[in-house]
Amino acid sequence: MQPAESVNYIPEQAEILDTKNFTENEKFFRIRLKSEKCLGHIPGQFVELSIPGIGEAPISLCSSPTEKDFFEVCIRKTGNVTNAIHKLKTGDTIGIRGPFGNGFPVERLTQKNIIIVGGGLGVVPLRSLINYISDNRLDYKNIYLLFGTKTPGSLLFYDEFVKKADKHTTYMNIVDYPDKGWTGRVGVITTLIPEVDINFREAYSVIVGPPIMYKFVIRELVSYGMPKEHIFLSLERRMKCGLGKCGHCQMHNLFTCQDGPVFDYAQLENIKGAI
Amino acid sequence: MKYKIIKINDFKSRLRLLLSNYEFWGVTEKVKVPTTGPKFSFERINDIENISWDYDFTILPPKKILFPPVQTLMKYRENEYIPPQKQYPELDKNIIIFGVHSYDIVALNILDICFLAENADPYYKQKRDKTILIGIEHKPNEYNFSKDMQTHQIEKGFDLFLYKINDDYIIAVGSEKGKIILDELEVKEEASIDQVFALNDKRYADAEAIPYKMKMTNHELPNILSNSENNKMWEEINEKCFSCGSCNLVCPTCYCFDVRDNPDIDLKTGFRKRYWDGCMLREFAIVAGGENFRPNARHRLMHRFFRKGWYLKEKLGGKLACVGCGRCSQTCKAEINILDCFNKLKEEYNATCRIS
Repeated sequence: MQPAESVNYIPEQAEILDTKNFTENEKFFRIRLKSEKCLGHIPGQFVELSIPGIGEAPISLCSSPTEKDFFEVCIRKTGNVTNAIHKLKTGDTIGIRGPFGNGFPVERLTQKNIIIVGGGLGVVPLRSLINYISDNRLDYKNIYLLFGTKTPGSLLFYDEFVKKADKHTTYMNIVDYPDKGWTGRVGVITTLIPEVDINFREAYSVIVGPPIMYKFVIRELVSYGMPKEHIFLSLERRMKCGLGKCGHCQMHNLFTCQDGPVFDYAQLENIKGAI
Repeated sequence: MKYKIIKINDFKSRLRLLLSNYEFWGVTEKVKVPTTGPKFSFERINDIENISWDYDFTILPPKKILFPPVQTLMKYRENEYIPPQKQYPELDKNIIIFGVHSYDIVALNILDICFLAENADPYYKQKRDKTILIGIEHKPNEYNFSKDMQTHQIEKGFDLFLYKINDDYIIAVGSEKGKIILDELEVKEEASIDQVFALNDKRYADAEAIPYKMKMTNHELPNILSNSENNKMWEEINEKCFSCGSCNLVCPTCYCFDVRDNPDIDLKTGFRKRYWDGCMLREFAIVAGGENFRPNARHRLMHRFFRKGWYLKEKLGGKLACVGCGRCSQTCKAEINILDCFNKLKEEYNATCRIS
């Protein structure tokens, strides 16, 4: 058989260069293709990671494409594949297909004020965008990073992001359930939005988080005057093939794995069940 | 289009010539059901006598040949993934699917678009490139509404199409591949213009004799469906539906699949295979965190019906994904009939339009 070059279900081998346990359930991996080719992704795209005998899972990339020698993912243990990936160590081999999807609209965000909102694990795909913006800082205006998590312990990449804060980059976070040492904000993520002091009509927003968060964050942003087509969100669906074939991620005429996962709110507003 | 003509008996006896050189699939009687008559199936044919020339529809559509219910995508050994080409270097024979009804040919043309138009699926392509479709005429049964979906008579999409006129077959030659088959069968005589005209008259009369069953044209369907969200019919069928996915299995244009690994006993080697999946199954749209984007049968029914009558229209260049074969209605244990559902939505739509 001569598989068409454009598509392949056969994973490529990659080597795990480094790992870090972030929390009990979230582990960070730095990976390089064994071919030493650059993955060449766009922030917001995902890959299918493969463990022989277990299967594949769609995983968001969390490193910026400006890092050409490797790519990074941060994986929460939730199913068979992710549990198996958690057992891998530096030097182990993993299968990979991709990158897939459209990614964040980095061009449209150029020279704009951007509010980046991440809920829970949503911060992981957003890191690819945030680091990309840092590496091309002159192409973007003011950046507001608003992150919410259940507990202080599940705030990922805190040290990294807090370092980025400066005159033009604001970092804010909030938790639902504070622990003893927590002195920061407590509450829901929408309460951070009024603290952003910019013209919402011209600003853009990129949101990644659990489905329930989208409704409330979008409502808040729209109430401040942000146009619907300025609000970008990345949707989670069961993306089995990544090629617009297997049907699991379809909503209306859209295949999340190919047409998304990033959509603007104007595209999704009338699609029932999208958010 | 070129047309050839041959005596039916001659054609049947020559058809044997193809059995040994091709992977030959035809329709055969699978089970006898005393109450409703026999059920038919596409099977490998070893004896021409086993072919059913007159059948209503097959249990499974011919998609099962090009997109098998279980298909090996690759073998794996430790961390190495080996594509099928390296496992089985010998080339298989070309495939003939014989006796396909027009609606199933349209359905295969739809699968061609879905699998091949973008990101061509190598597994489907490999089989499809080697496949020759030979169509025959059909009479719609009680479930079939192919006339309404404009799939009852077709002018393209096949390699050969057999029309019965008295003791002859007039054979429409739809492609070069079809022509080669007729050469192999030594079917040489061209149909005369009078014979082709007579055929067209007969086809017209056949079509006229079949009633329309849908209370709208198929062009109206996307609009009816897109305005149906709050229709109480969805609630009614939500109550009935078992979410068993039978409709997905028998649908000639359902092609969703799942991918699963099958480890050997050594746990080091195994096969990665794809399996037919169905959007009517409860777990189809569940993601890692447990969120189910179509939690109730209602959502899943809407997704499936809309996919058939609306969502894929753009992708299919204006065609709808439902070809009106009626298999889903026949197979549904809850007796949900897709045609009745479409008609009910149309009636309600008319009623609301009158009120407003």
